Amino acid sequence: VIPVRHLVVDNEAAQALASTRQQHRKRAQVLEAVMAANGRRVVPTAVRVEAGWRRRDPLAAVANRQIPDDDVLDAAAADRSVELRRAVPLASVVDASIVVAAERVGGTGDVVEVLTSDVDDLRALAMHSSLDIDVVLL
Amino acid sequence: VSELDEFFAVLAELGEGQAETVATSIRQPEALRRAAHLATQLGMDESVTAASNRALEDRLRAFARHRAIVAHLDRFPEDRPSLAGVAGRRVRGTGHPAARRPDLVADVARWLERRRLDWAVATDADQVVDSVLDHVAMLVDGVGHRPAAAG
Repeated sequence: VIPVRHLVVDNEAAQALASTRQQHRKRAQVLEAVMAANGRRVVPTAVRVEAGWRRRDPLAAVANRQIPDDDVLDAAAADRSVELRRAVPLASVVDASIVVAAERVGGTGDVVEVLTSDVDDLRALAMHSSLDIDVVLL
Repeated sequence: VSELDEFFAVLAELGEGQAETVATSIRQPEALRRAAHLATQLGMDESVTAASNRALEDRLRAFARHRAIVAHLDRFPEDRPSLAGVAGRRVRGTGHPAARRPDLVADVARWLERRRLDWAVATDADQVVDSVLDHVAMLVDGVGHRPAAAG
């Protein structure tokens, strides 16, 4: 059985999607990840703030199309982020929100790819999750 | 704002549960209507309305995904990934047999890519990727033959 693969992106991936250069190695890698994801493609709202990604900006069109869903940092996500940061104090709020988004998007038996430039902190956080999170370096 | 971007914005509203409901009158085949009622009674969905909405939403999201990739590759053709890259990534970090056999993924993908040059922008791109993985799983189980190396 081919598992369901979801994708959660970080700031670096968001920045890559915002690039208008004809050739962009990281943007190409993001597109490969998008096409490999047969489940949902999600950006945590905290990542959007960090990346300056405003959904209504015309320049955000490419990113909006490829990563259409937000994971909102609501009260429940904030509580879970606090738990994760207690376990990995060096991790940032944004890093914790990425793992929380992964936990919320993934179901039993699913894999969630986290595409990031910060693999160390995210792998450390992912170790505290019961979900199968594949942290991939961008 | 282009029609395509407006389409994505409306889909986002749908995902956020902000969309209002409206009553519509759709003409549909009588047999389809009866089949939907019976399937609902058998437990497919909570109602025919829910089943219809779910089916239409699934189709719209699949169409949106396809159009997003077509638009992206039209603007940035250099971003086009290889079929082997996408197939291998789909099962990365999983127990699928193809995750352990990147060599077979590469061979099968190369064989299929030669026959489906347009796979990345095809409406069935996801199925093409899955067909690579299914074929590799069969080969790992000893069914069928490994495709000849690309010429």
